[in-house]
Amino acid sequence: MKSATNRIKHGLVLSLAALTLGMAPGFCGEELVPGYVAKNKIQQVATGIEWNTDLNAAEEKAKSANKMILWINMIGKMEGAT
Amino acid sequence: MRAVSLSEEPAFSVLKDDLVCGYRDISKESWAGYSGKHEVGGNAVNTTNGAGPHNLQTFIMASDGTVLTCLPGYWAPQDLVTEIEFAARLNDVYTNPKYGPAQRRLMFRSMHVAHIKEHSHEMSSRSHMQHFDQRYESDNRFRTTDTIKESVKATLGDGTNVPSDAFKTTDILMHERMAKRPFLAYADFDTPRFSDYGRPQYDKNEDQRDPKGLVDKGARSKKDTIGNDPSKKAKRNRMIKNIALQGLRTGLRFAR
Repeated sequence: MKSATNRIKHGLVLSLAALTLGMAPGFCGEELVPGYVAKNKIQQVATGIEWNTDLNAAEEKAKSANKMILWINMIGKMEGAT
Repeated sequence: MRAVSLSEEPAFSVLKDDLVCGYRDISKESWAGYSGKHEVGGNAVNTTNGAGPHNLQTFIMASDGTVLTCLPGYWAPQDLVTEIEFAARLNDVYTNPKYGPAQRRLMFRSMHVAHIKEHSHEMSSRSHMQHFDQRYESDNRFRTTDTIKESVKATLGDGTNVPSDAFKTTDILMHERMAKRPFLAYADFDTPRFSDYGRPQYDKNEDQRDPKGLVDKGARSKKDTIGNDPSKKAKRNRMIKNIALQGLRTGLRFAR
C-alpha cells in the first residue's frame, strides 16, 4: 500500500514536472517579436535613417556635419535578410 | 542579428539626428559567425547585451574613422545610447588640441575602465553572457580566456564546471578589451579578435517557434543559414569534389 502511494506521488511529481517543462518557453526572459512587427521596425530603420555603405563617404559627411559615425558590421543587409 | 531594436527610442532619434550612420555586410569575412537566415517578415527576439558577437559589431567613431568604442553583438537600445554618450566624451578628448597623443591614449584607457562603474545595475543585468557562449569559453579556452574573472579562475582547475557568475558580464568585457585599443583607425582595429568570445553560431530559432515559444525541431533541422556555416562549406566542398571526379571520369571515357 505504501509503495503504491509512493508510486502515485512520484507519478504526480513527474507529471507536474513534464507539464511545467512543456509549457515553459524555450527562451525565458527574451521577448519574441512577431514577424509583422519586426518587418515594420526593420523598414522604419532602413528608410528612416540614411545608411551609408561606403565608410569614406560617411567620414566626409561626418566631417562636414561635425558628427560622429555609427558603423555596423552585420551578417546580411539592413533592408533584407539577415 | 537584426536591426529591429534600432527602431526603438531613444536609439532611433539619436541615430537619425545626431550621427552619420553606415553599415557593411560581413557575411563573406572568414571571421564572421553564422546564424539561421531571417527574412524581413521573420520573427525576431530581443536578447542579451553582447549576444552574437561574431555576427554583429557596432562601432562609434570620430568623424575621421577613429574607433571610440565598439559594441560586439546585440545591445539594448537604451544601453546603446549610454555608450554613444560615453563615446561623445571620448570624442571631446580626441578632438581637444590641448592633449597630446600619449595623454589622449592614457585618458582613453582610464575612461573606458572607469565607465564600467558608471553602468547601471539594469544595464549590467542585461549583459549576462549567453550560457552557450560561457560553455564554449570554459570548454575550449579555459586557460587563455579573458571572459572568466581572474580571481575565480585561480581557484578552478581545467575541466571543472565553471559557475555562470564566474564569467564577466559583456559590458565589462567590452570596456576591458576597448581599453587596450586606444584611438585606432577602423582599418587597423582587430575586429575578429575583439569580438571573439563564445561560439561562432548564434541562433535563437525565432522562425521555428510556435506561438508558445517552443522550437519545432523538424523545422530547425531544415532551416537555411547565413554567414560562415561550416556545414555549408563542407557540403560545397563535397559538391565541388564530386563534380571534379565526374569530369575526370567523363574525360577518361572519351580518352579511351
